[in-house]
Amino acid sequence: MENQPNKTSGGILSWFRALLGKPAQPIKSQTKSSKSEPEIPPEEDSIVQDIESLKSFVKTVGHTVSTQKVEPRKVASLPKPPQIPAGITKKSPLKNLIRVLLVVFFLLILTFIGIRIVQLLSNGGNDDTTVQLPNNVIPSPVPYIPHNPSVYAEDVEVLKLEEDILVLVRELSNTSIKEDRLYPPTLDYNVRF
Amino acid sequence: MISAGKKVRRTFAKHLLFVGLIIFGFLATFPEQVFSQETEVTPQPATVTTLRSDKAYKLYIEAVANYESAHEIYLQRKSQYLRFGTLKSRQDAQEATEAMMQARDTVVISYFNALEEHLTNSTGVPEARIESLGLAFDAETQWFEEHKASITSATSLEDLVNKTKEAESRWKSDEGLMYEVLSTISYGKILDFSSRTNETFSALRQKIADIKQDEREEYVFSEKKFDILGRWVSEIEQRITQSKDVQLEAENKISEFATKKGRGLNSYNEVIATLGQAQTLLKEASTFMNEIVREVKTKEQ
Repeated sequence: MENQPNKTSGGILSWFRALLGKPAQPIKSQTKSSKSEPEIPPEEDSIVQDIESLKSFVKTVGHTVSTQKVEPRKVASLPKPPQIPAGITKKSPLKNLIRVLLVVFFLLILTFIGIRIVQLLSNGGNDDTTVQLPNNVIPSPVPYIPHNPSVYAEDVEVLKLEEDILVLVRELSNTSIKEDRLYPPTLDYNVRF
Repeated sequence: MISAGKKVRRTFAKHLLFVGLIIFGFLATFPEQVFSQETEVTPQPATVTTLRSDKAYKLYIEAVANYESAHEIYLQRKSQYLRFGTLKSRQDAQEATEAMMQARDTVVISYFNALEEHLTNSTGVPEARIESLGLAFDAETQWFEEHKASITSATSLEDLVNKTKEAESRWKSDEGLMYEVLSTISYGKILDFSSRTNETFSALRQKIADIKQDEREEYVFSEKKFDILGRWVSEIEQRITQSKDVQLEAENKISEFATKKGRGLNSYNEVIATLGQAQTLLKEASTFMNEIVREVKTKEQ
């Protein structure tokens, strides 16, 4: 374990040095008693060293991880949805049908609007009901007729006549000549035993 | 997850909304309506004749209500008697039938009274016509009052059945009289409108003649304007004449109620349709008169 960091650092360093074109430093084994692997010349097998160091590193991490037993966390389980019997499907066909119909209806409306817009644009905004005016003709404005009372506008007799006529018109419009509430009653003369 | 605080706020909001709706509904149902300005003419105090007419109508409605309740009891007792056939059930059926028949005659009498009062208070009907129809009503009312009194003297169900047949026959023969009165009331309204239209039209023609004779410079109209007014006056005369022809046609139909048998609701509807045409013609004539007045009040260009 002690040799491994040294080996690892030596391996990386030698690789780095090899990259720079410098000769790799000899690896100094610190413990003679350890049964180390046979020495391999660094300039010949730096890559192998790297691989070995990587393997040892992975083993170390793996050991640390794998030794711990992972137990799943107890999470409050959601209530299980009611089990649907086998005979009934999840989505009812009626709902699907309604959704499809709504979508189709919406698409029809959009299509209709689009067709109308295209028609209007192609006709230049003209409809059958509108009157086509030539471009060089300007419609004349409606002449304004101001209130122009004659001398009889304030005449007493004329005003009295006007009032009588208006009352008569109103009564003729609003009076119903039919007597709805005095129809003969319905009586039962069918007395038989 | 909704917090407890949010839940409390939501519940409070719901309660508040509910209370608000109740208060609003209460205020909307029972407010006093306050008007700043009355647009319609305030009604004149009811005259004595109108009060009598309304009272007679009210009595008629009460009589109808009493008859309906007596009729229900009669039907129950009749069905019991027909089912069980006991002496007791027969006695009950007889009493219920007597009560129903008396209530029925009361309805007829009160209906005749209400109709007569309404005829008396209607406008436009000649007095002679009102009198003759009133006499006919009096005769029929007397007959039904005697019939009502004779019901109590019946000793059996068969007697009651016979008395009902008499009343039924009399009631059917009075159908023509009832619809004749209703038609006369409607005809009276049209006569009143026609009379008023004629009066107003005469006054208007007189005014136009006065304007024509006026020689003051600013009071004179041009010949063109008088021509226009003259044409419009002719239109009004034509409408009034047509209305009179239609009224005559309606009067002939009304007279058939007394002369021809079997005249009822259909004939009444025909009379109403004819009188409706007369009303329309009079309305047109009045509208044209209004146009003439407006033309007189407007200065020439």
